Amino acid sequence: MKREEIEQLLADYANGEISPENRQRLEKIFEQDANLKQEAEEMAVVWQELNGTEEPSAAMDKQFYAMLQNERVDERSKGARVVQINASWIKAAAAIAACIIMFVVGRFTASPPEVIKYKYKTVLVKQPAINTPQLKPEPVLAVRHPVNSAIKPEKEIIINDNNTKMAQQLRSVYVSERIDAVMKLSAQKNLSDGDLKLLELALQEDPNANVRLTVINSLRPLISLQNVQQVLISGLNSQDNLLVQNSLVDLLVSAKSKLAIPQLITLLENKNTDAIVQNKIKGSIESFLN
Amino acid sequence: MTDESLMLYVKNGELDKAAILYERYKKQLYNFFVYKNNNDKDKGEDGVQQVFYQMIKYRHTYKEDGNFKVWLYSIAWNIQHHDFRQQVKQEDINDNYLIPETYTQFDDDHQTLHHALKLLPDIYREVLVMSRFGGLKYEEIAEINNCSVGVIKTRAFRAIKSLREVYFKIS
Repeated sequence: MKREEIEQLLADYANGEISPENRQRLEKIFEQDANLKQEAEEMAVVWQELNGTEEPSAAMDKQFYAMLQNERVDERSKGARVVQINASWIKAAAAIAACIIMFVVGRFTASPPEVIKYKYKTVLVKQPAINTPQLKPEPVLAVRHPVNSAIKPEKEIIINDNNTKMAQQLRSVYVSERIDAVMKLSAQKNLSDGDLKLLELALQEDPNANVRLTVINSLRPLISLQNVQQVLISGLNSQDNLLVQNSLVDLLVSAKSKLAIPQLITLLENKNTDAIVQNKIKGSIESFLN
Repeated sequence: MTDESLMLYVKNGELDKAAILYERYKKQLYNFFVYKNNNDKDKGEDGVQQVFYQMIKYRHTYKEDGNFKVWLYSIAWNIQHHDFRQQVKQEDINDNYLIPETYTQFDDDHQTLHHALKLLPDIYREVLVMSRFGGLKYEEIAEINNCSVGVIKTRAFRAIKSLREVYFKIS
């Protein structure tokens, strides 16, 4: 047996934890070596002499239990912190989730915004771009204005597409074209209400006196008709030209139009009316009454 | 209840069970630290406190199939060696101020034996303290020191033999 093995057996022998098998092996060696046996027995004595263990003080126990108490408190506070952290985390997560849900719901429920797509195109302009709108003739709604309370408003007259050309010509910048339009209208065998309306507008609004005089002359053959007389009566107050006004008064007086009496009286009472016109009105009214 | 089952309770948060383990091991650990630190009782108590503090702090590292005593003394061994390294540095500083050691006459054999124990090389004294005062088997000490059982037994033999020479020479 090697020396190391014997030393290890002696270590077990000294502390008393040697197995029965090893004890028998060691005793065989002791039979051959008495000194080794003595050495082993002395080692066992030394082991036994090392029995005097120290006792810790009560202060150590006190410190330990204080430390244990602190650890218990920390353990509870850690648990509370975990719950608190979880609670705050849940609140934050709930807020974020609510925002996302609101965004998604709002996006899919709101009406889509009107998207105006502008297309830009580069255009080479040689001259200043001036918009000259093409005047498309539209149906004109014309209302016959009452001359006085005695004259009842008549039905609305609509100038249809057949009068469109004449209406455009009556708005021409050239006086000759407007006169020509008046002549063409009056040359028709049967004047419609639309034609009469166009002539009435020309009598009231045309800036040129010659055009208005042409209207008066063109209606002269039809003076016996009441609707023609109405057209002429409507033009009495709007005339700023003495010649036109005289022509109107002469025509109505010659036709002995009783429809024109109220308008003629109004014109007579007007201080701005020319004296010649007033005298002519006076004489005509007296002749009507006689 | 075994040490291992008690430690599992501690691991699962029942810190009250640590008190039972403390009562079982406080004396062994105290003597381990006292003899490892030249009979310094303050260091002995401080070492025990540190062992149980770290046992609670690192209780999650305890393995269910592990030997509790080995695990506990591993903590103690690490504390002692960490403290020992700091102590060596301090002793190196104090070497310049050492005075020649005077012979000390002890009143009885017991004191003489314990004085001889202090003079043993650390690796020998450690095995003797752990086995004699800590109640650890050589196999457990080997596991803590991460070496073979034969090495520990050889160290134990040489430690006891050295004490024997001192003890019986004086006698």
